[in-house]
Amino acid sequence: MRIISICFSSILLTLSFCFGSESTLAASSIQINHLEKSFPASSFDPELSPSSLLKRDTTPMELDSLVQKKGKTTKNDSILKKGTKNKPAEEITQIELSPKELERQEKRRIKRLEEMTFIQRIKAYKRMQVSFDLVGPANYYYGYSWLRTEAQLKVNLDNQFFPVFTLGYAKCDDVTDGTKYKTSAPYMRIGMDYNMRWKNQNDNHLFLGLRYGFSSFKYDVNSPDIKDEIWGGTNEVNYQNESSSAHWLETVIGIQTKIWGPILAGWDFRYMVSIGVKENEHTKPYYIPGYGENNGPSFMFTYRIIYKLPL
Amino acid sequence: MHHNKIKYFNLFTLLTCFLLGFITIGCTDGYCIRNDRGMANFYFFSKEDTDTQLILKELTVNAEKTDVILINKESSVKEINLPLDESRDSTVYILTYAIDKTTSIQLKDTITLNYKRSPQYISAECGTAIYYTLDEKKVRYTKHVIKDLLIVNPLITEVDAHHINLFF
Repeated sequence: MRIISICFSSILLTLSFCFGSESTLAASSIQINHLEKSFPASSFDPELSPSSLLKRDTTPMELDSLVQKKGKTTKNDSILKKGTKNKPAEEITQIELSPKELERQEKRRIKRLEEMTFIQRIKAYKRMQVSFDLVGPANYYYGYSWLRTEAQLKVNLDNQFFPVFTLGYAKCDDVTDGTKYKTSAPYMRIGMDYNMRWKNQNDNHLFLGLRYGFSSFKYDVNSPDIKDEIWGGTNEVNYQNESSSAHWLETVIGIQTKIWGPILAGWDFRYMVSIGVKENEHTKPYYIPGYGENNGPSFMFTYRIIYKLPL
Repeated sequence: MHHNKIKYFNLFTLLTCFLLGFITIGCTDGYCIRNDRGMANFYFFSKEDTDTQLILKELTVNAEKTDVILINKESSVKEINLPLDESRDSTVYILTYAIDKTTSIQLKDTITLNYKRSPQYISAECGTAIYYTLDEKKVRYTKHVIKDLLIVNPLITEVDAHHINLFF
């Protein structure tokens, strides 16, 4: 049931994702038609690069202010300013291009992006985004014995590479068959996402990522006495403040899409493999903050609300 | 118009996935398969031929200081699993063999295992158990029938394993 649901949801959202991004491609190509002529591809500038200008939501007015902000005057500036001030945005977007011409322009745009070096892309910083997971708190609300809350900071490097830092807090207060396990601690993850659809230069991302996770925590175990039914007698199992730490690696696949303005949403699935858990003489941690149950590799699903920071 | 459709479609699918996410996360399959307690596993061998397991015609094992019969006249025995005393650091077993027809004498042996106990928390599903670490230097046994005893694996947990070889 779990596998079927996961597959179904993945396929559904991926379909919508593809549908959305391809349709917007034509719109963005029309909008930037004039700008392609205004900006030669030969010189690279992070803010005035073809990739930044081809953003889906960049209007001619925004481009105008972008040029003014940079304080640069080129031969093409006059063409751009003239065009944007004298012509309303509607006029520009209504220019009709043949499908062949659109295809040719799209190919040219992708070729330019591909010609950019890795360093050029890294330098092309494009804002940060913070996100908050909803699944952890929701599960806790619906009766789970553990709570996982986390905030994630993602840096956008030209829509292709996304260094990621996650800081979270998890707690577990489990009682099963009279045995109590209690822990609460922060955890962190650090890693990088790669946007598979970076050439589209919009907010619809399909990404793959890698993470390293770490948590240092203490836990308590309290169990009813163990009774020996043959010889009689009992044994107490009561361990307080057991200290432990855990390291793990994650592979992530996920998507995000624009909802409204700077608000985005997305989900990701992660496969986590523990690479080291400190066990104590009498106990081993049952729940690891940020990782979940200490019982071999595990999966995690997160659903995020994302906010693009104005930085 | 078309742009709005795309937005709503994305929003719809995201919400659907959100709900599906709850379903997938909500299905827990926590269970535990384990032995109730740690058992010492004995294999029987012939002293002359240590590669071949020996089959005892009949065997009875009692726990000393109790009236509990751990193994009752079991026939064709080549290995046994015996529980350990969870509240003390040693357990004494009395092994009673089949009556020797030629002498009509019933032979017995006594084995004393000494160990260190360690109450363990395994997991929420599996609960707690006692782990034992056998002290190889403090194993005592009579040699009426038994000729030798060798500890192969000193750690006894709730997981099945081979711990002791008995040579006859």
